[in-house]
Amino acid sequence: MAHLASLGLDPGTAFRIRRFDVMPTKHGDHVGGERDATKALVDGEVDAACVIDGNQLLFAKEGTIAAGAVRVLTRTPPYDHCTMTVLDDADGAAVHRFVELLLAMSYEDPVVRPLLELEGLKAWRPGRTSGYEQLEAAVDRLGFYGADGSITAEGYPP
Amino acid sequence: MSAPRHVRPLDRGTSDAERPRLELGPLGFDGGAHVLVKLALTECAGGTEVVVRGTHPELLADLRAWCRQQGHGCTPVGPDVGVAAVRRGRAAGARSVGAERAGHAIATEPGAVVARPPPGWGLAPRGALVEPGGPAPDFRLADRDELWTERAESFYEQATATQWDPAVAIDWSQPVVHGPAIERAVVQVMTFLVENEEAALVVPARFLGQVHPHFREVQQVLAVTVADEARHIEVFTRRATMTGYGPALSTVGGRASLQSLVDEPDYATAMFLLSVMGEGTFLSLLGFLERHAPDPVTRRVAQLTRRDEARHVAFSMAHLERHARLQPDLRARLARAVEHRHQALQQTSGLNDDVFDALVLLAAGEEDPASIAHGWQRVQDLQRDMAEARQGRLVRLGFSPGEAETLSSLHTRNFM
Repeated sequence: MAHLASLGLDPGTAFRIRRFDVMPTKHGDHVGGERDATKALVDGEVDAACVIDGNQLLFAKEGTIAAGAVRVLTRTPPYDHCTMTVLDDADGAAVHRFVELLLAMSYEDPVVRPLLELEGLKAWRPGRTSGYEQLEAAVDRLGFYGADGSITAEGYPP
Repeated sequence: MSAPRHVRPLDRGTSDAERPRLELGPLGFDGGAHVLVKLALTECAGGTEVVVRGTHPELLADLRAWCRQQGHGCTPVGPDVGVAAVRRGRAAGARSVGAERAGHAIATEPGAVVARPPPGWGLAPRGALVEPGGPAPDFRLADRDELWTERAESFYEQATATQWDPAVAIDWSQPVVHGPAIERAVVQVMTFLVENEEAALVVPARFLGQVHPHFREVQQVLAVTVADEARHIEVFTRRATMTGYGPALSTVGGRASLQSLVDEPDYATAMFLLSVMGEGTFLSLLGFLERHAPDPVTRRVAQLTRRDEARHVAFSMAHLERHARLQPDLRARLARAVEHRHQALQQTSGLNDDVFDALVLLAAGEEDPASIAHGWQRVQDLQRDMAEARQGRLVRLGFSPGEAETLSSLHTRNFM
């Protein structure tokens, strides 16, 4: 939404939003919501759908989107969205060990490969905060969170 | 490495002359482009980058997303070169790391059938490259010595080549001209055959799910055996009911004898008791019916089922001959099983009297004293033939003639 707003299309004014929330306690990260949105697009119920690029590939593969049936209007720049976070007072040695173990997980190891696959990963990468600037600016712009961290976004069921 | 057919080296004179390129044309990732990219990366393994070219408007963005998912490197290149250069990531070949070849698909190849396939090979086809990890199902029958025979494949081929359709192979419209007493005898014998074939279906079916899939040919023989028995149950039932009499008496003694087969937990012992002793005896019985049954439908039913049963017996003989050669103590186990079964069934009445009498009537064909005497003699001959054939098979399994005679005499009076 923030990306569209940055292009001059204000949500609620330039277009109406229809939500496709599935398991909203996962904060919209459930693939089912994006699949429902894509089906609505293909069926002509909506004019556009917001999906992440990986899911778009998935929907094409599983047949939800026929080849050439949709086109991409715009893309956000890449952003980070899944990470392991710890509180400031977490034990440093334990955190270090945890990171060490995650980074040691090899996709070539048959024991850990299914665990990586559960998360759709091939490898863990060292943590960074730089990939969140775009998301941070977006939630601020749209008032998604209140000052106390509670969800204040209109129409979003927590 | 030579370039694959759809991946061509770039034109000489460019800085990318060494990198193979993949031309996708208008094909996008919404239409299967990843298949060709994957193929190109596989064929150009060893760190070589593949330059991907194409005209689909979303090619670069989709290629980057796909590469990120797959763990490949993806670097945009100038428009004169292509869309992006893709470098194969380590994850692409991860499933092959530590993977093991599960023998060989062709059983006659050296090392094709291993002595004890590991549980982790699970449902993988024999000969497949098995990714390590995953489920390790407990297939109880996983010892080559205890269930393999090199002839399994040929038995399976014979079985599939000789399957028959009861609706076509038997002319059910042929008339029954004998009297009611003879027909009731036929119905009684058919009833007896159906319940015996039920046991012959259930026993291999129980073991079928326990055989490690590495021994594919054994599974296949057991599976087609089960299908054979299902067909036998069909035709014996159809013959029993085609004149309106319906199935006749099923006795406690008959069912107790058959239940002792169904309850036998050891594969070799169960197949020995069922196929070698039981179905082997049935070969004589079905041959008897083929020769002496009073109507052409019954004779044809006996003929067709006998062919299948002969294959079942031959398969178990081949398996047990090999097993006994490799594990000489097997014979003692089998002998104990016969003795144990004999003791367990001592309190039962053995062959249903009605079945015995029905065989006499059926072989007599008429109800007059001379015919009955003739039928009686034929049943005596049948019992002698059953015993001699049983002893012959036991001798082939390595029992001495004396042992064979003793064990044969302890076989259930219920025939199966």
